[in-house]
Amino acid sequence: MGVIKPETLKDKEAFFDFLIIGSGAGGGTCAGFLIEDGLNVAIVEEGDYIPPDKLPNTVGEAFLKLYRNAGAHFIFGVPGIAFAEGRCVGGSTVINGGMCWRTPEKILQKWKLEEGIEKIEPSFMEGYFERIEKRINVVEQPPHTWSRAGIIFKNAAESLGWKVVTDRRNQKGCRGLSLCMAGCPAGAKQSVLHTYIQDFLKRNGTIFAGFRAERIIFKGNRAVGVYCKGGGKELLIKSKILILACGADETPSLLMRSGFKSSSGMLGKNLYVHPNVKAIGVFDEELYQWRGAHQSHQVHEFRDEGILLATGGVPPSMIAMSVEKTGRELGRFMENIKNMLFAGALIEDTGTGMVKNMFGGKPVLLYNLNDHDFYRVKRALSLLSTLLFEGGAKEVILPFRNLKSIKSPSQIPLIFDNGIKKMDTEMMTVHIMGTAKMSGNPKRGVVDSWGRVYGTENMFICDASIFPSPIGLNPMLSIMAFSARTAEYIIENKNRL
Amino acid sequence: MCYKITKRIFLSLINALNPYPEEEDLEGEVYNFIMNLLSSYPLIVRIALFLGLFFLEVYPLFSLKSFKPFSFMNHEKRVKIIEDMLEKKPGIRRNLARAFKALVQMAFYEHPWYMKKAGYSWAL
Repeated sequence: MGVIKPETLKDKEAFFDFLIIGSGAGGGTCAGFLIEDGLNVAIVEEGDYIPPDKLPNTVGEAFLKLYRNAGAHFIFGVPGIAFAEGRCVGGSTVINGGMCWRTPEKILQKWKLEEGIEKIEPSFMEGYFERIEKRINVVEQPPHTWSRAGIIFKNAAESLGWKVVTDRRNQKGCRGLSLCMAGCPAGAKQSVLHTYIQDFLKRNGTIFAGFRAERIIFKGNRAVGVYCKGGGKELLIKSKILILACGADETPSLLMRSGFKSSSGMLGKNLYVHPNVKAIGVFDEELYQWRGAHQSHQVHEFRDEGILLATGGVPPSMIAMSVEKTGRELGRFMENIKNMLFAGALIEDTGTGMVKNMFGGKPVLLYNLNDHDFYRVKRALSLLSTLLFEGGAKEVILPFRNLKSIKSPSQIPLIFDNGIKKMDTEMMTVHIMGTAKMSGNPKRGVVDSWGRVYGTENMFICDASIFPSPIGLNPMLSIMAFSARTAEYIIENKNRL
Repeated sequence: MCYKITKRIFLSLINALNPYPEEEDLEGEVYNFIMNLLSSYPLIVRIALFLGLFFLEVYPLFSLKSFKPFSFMNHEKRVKIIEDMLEKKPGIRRNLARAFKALVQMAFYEHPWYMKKAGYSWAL
């Protein structure tokens, strides 16, 4: 059937055996696996379908076409955290950096031990990782695409004796444009849009693009249909099996506004956000960080502490937005952007927040950083500063209101000053997870070991909301593997569901 | 009427935040970019931003004890007001100024003129 948009919608009702809400890492992968088995599948996606060869050339255009709320998303709390996610066919896989890491073994073991999740052993998951990595072409980022900034970052980490690894990314023929956030106009990034969605369309799958799932219709303990709206039109899609993959904010929100209550009381709770902080090194040398891959290396030395360090080629608009300078002073600062190395740290958080629905059924995210995680934020920034000075930076710009920059390694201890509060810290994230937790125990989780929602016969979740805890790494490949695992379970049990 | 007032305040805000005052011609394009961006924002954010704009317009009354609205002040005074708001402790004034700054800087630094100036090879 192909892509149906509000302007081309003819019927007000439709029926499919399998209906997936959301088309990102979870929904797109699940759709790809289900249709491979010859099943009658449809996807509903709130964002637009933009063919891979029509993706934007600039981040500004991408914000309008590919991001939820044009990139203006926010997590409320102390501190407030800026948040970005995709809203297009392919979801956040279209706009992310494409880093692909398998779920760490210690995390899988923890989930098995603490939540009693079945068939989650690394040996069992390996098959899914391998199949997906092959399809989306996960490879080590080749040296000819490393930016000068990436090389300095790698060399400085090695000189400090830290474990630094070359990124594994889903790309084919990366040209190092550093435009991953715009969807990769070079067509190199093998996002879900470029892979599983194209497979899905070739096999006659149907995508309703530009329709928001407003409410799930339940009959007893079965989800029988979804009421959608888009472009002023209404649509009712009925299905035998419903799969939710709207992300860790929209999935619990949809369930809550449909009147669903989880007997565990965990729906919308257990929100983890992988808080990110940035540090910018200013060098004498011209680096042109955007001439090369968005990210080529990560420091894994401090992963046991829940700290991941990496570079990140971000567009100048994002740098300008985040530095504490304005007007002509900002203009002068940005003249030197070619001399800057933009790096960041990801924290595997220990505190949790929640998703609630506002009036009108839109989700609002609430999260307060706890003291332990704030200490690790400071620790991460001290490590990043050490690395940047080791690489030759003459100044490191920090994300604190009252400590804007430091000019030598001897000033690093200032980061731990008690005067620096959470509210004075600028943070952002692109990873949220955990709001429909998976557990073998229905009193502790929203979904069972295979992603089926407790209390329903035929409704599944396959996105990051099922993660019981944060994973401390880029989560795309984990979401895809768990989604493939759920898809295979559905295929094997379709006659009993 | 409301549209005209909003546009005037927005343009004066863009002028105050312009990192390249000698490139005044860019300000109209920056305004159009921001309007385009705002159309994709949730209604509640748009309402908050427009209320914030009117707050900014009368803010000199509280901060400088001046009856002259923000959009009628000279460039230096506008810059001072924005910088003053950004230096405040975390709260409504600081967050509002940061939101305005984010919007305006995004528009300036996504502009092809800047991309070429900074040496972005794919923009040439």
